[in-house]
Amino acid sequence: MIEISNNLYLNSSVVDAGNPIIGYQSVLSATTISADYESTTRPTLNLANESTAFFWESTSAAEQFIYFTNAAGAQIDYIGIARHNFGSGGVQYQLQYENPADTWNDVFSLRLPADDASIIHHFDALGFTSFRLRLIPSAQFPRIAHIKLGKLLALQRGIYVGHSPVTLNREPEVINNVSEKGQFLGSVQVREFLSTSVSTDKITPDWYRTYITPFRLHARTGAFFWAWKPIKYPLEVGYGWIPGGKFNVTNESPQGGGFVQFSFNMKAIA
Amino acid sequence: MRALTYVEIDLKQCTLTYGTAPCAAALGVTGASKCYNSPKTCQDTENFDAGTLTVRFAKPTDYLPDDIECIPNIASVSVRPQIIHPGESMGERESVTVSFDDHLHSDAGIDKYLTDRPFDIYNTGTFWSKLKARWPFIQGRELRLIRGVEGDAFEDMEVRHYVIESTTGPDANGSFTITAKDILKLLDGKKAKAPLASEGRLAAAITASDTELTLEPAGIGDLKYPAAGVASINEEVVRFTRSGDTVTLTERGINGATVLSGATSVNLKITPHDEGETFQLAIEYDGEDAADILDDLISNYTDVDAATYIDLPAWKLETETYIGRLFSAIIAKPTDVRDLVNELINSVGLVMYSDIINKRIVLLALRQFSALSEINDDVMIKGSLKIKEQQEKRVSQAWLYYGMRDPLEDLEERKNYKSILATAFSDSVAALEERPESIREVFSRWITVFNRPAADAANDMIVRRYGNAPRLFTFQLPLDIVPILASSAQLSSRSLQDAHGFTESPELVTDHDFNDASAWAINDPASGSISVEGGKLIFQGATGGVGVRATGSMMPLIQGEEYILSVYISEFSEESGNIFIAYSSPVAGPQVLLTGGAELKGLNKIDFTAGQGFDAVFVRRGPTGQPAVTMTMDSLSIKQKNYDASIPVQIISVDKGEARYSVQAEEMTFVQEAVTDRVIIIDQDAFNINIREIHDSIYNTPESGDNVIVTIESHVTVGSTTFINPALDLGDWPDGVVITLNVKGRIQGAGGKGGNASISPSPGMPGGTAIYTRAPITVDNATGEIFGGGGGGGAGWFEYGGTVGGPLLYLGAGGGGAGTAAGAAGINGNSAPQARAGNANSGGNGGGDSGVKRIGGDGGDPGQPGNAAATGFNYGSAAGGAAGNAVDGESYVTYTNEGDIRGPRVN
Repeated sequence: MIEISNNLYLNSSVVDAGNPIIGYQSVLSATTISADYESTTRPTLNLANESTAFFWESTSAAEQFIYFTNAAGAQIDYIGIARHNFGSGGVQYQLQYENPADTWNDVFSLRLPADDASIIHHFDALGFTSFRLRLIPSAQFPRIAHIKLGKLLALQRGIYVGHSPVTLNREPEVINNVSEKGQFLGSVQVREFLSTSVSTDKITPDWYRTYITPFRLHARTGAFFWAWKPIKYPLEVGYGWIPGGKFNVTNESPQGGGFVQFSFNMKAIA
Repeated sequence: MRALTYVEIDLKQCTLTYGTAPCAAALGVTGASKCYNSPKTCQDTENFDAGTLTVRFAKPTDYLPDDIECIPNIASVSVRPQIIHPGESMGERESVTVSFDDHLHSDAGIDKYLTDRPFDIYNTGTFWSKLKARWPFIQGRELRLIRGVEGDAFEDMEVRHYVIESTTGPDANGSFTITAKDILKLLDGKKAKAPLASEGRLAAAITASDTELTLEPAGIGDLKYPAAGVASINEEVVRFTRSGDTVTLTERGINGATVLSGATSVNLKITPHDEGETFQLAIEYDGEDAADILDDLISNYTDVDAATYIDLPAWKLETETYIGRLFSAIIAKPTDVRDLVNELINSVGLVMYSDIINKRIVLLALRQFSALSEINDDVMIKGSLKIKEQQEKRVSQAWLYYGMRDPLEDLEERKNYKSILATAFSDSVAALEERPESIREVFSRWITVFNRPAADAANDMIVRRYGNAPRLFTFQLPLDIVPILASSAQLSSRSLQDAHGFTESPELVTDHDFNDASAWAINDPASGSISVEGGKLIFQGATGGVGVRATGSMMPLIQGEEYILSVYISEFSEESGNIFIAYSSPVAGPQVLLTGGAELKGLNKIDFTAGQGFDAVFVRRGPTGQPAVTMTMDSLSIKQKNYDASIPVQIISVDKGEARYSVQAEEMTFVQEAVTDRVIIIDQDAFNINIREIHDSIYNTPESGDNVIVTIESHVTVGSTTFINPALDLGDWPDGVVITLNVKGRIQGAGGKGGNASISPSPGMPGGTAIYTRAPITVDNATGEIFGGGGGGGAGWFEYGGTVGGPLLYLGAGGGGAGTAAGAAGINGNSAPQARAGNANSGGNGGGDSGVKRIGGDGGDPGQPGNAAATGFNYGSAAGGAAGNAVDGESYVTYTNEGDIRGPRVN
């Protein structure tokens, strides 16, 4: 495993590819997550749903754990964490798995991100049934909106010209006030989102059907982690969704046996 | 600056825990699953313990602060701001429409029993659909629109308070909408009526002369009716007292016109009533301050939380200071509270609106507000100014109907009013332009027939404000220029030009520069100090002497030209402090233009005509003995009046958006005359009036020094229905109240009744008193008449050639004395002619004739005694009644003009 930045940790197979990665698949649900602490209005079950509007929040600044059950023993190679306060709150974190019973092993060492941006942490696949996220706060109570634990998707090709990295492509709505005499009266920003569009081609049909079709089904209504160029720009990790679930796929060869291309728009939080 | 928008709603939520005492709900018994602590899902309604669940929503944006709990599902917020209608009505209600997106939700913070639900909560249903199923009725609950910017503490953000009016959705597009209105919406007709419909009925029929009735159903009296009051039965309004279900009618037909038929009065409204007719409780306001009336209506007949929303002392300070009159009405049938409030606003000249931020209902008198700000092209958002002519609001004449006869009749039934007052807008320009008439009719139940000053004031207010069609200005301002609803401002723009094309006065005279201390000479520094610093004149006067003074030179003004002095004072330390601003002239001395204390804070504009050689301005403290005062003057300028195209406006609507204010302002040329003298005008014939009682029905309690001016209009007669009581009783007054009575019509006592014919003939009755006073009063009777009642003529008899009492006895009654009402003739005897009643100008002839002379005495003319019956051999005679006094209390009276006074003047 190679640590590239505070937001993105990759294992060697993905590093070799260097293509965009998507973390959409997760084994977690409201019934497979529990935590040592939870507030009344921000309970643990909020961690499982993909909404970033609703948090889990601890009620303690002591070392603590969030427990995950992978009952089927599915292969897991990443954890994604969206909208948290690890950076601003000084919360160290570490993923652990249980093997054998009552023995917890580190998947990776303790980390402390520099900011509160979304995190993708990739590691060699593990098939254990119990994981836990170890949290060591400094002063603030830990807070997380959403966690995914599952199998990462690395795209077959990279994306290059024309792409706007989602974390750089902010869409502010600003109202500028100018007086009748042309005096500047100040500006007010009323809204801001991140957005981008993703387009890739030369995708083999079988690969598309095997890996993208399930992602597309998920992305109709679901959200996902996204890093567009993980090796070169490891800080540019977003957690996003496809507005309206609109996903375009077209055949690139006249006979239908060659490549396909697909594209989608995306809105995100950093 | 990054804007944040939140919305909160308060839901009614039970504070108890399912199945824990006192909650008796039990799974499998009262329900298959636990409740959601909402009224709709409650399984033990008797023990529902109401609390509040506040749910907060936000307009989604990337920079929403994490520490402010919210559901970021607001799709849009649309505010339609309230628009005040000064002096007309409560105006248009503010409305906020919030559209929400529907979405999956974990129920965290909503459902107390999350962990007990046997299903995937987040993926089951959607937020608004679930909420709507649990709280289907949220109308009337509070909604708050909260706006701030990133970095604001939540408690520091601006909160606007509304009441939920309706909801729609969630629809097929996943949209849910809440519409909420400001608190005054609760005065609407469907929500509030006064009085409420009464439930009591007559248990048995009553006749026109009955004075007692019984209510049914049994017990309704104590339950629903006060111990005394006013009520209506069918078309009759009555006054009553009550004990249990038994009602004593102390006065019947108080809505009926009394028709005098001789000495008998007939009331057409007093009629029999059938069993089962409703005994409808009425509301009576008898000479009350408008603030008290509005407080009563809103507090007792609406769902408004009066303790929160009404600051009665502040209301009364306003009405007592700027209105100074009282109002009366009987509300005899259920009426929309909104209509009653609007009528009062219209009749009195009030401004009422919701202070949505501070949770207050604001009540102001319609008056000249000081302009708090100047709004010009420097601050108006580019392209935002729109100007609309409002010719539909122009009023050339105001007609006010007042003195309502019957509170059961429709408000706008013209014949239901005793008086109408027409006031025309008088303006030479309007006359030259030959503007067509535009008449506004106002019907007022609140102004009694004797309260013509109030009618005058109401009409005057209308024609002053709307004689010229006021222009409506709409414009936008940045968020740091805060417009205040109902306040006034001075508006100028390149779109507003005078006949010369000027948008504002050119610098014809001076604009005193507070950045240049050398432009000011500081005099008498021992009594205080004046400094010029930071673009302001800072003035500190010590306690005591006249002293400190600053003088600035200027270009000479042109004698006889009109100018405008504009002074903006930002600070004034003492309520009782005093300064004055004057222009000095080496030729004519100083001319004081502005004087006053803390009330001068803000922008002051004074029109004046320049005297000779004015070439200096000075600011000076007031007379000797003033307390210490600190004053900061931000600006002082003179402009030639005819060159000033700026417009005084009143801000009638303010909408705060995320980035700008949208403002509506109406041109305001209204200038209210100060209420000084307490004027009472009698312009209707009346009987037995008590001036103090009339005063107290239209003005607050008099105090020493108050001037009370009573005018009896020409062609009006104030009379008395009985010789026992005076026509005009001045009543009791505190010492020091100065009362003037202008008599242009007639004040006349009742005529005495003629003596009845009989073998024992009765004398005529005395005439009644015209004016009774035991308080000092000045009377101007130059063109009026003050007449005591004429005494009644005495009755008599004549025996023709036989024993008295025999068959040839002739009996004659006395004639009635002159008066208003006139004295009736005595009961006639057997001898023609019949005795006659008097009239207003002469006594009636006596009756009976002995063949030689009239037997009964004639009634006295105004102020004259009645004549005795004929005397002589075989005549029996009774005396005539004494003349009624013209004035009882003569030593209290000072005449400026005595005029025509008939009858004794006594003490």
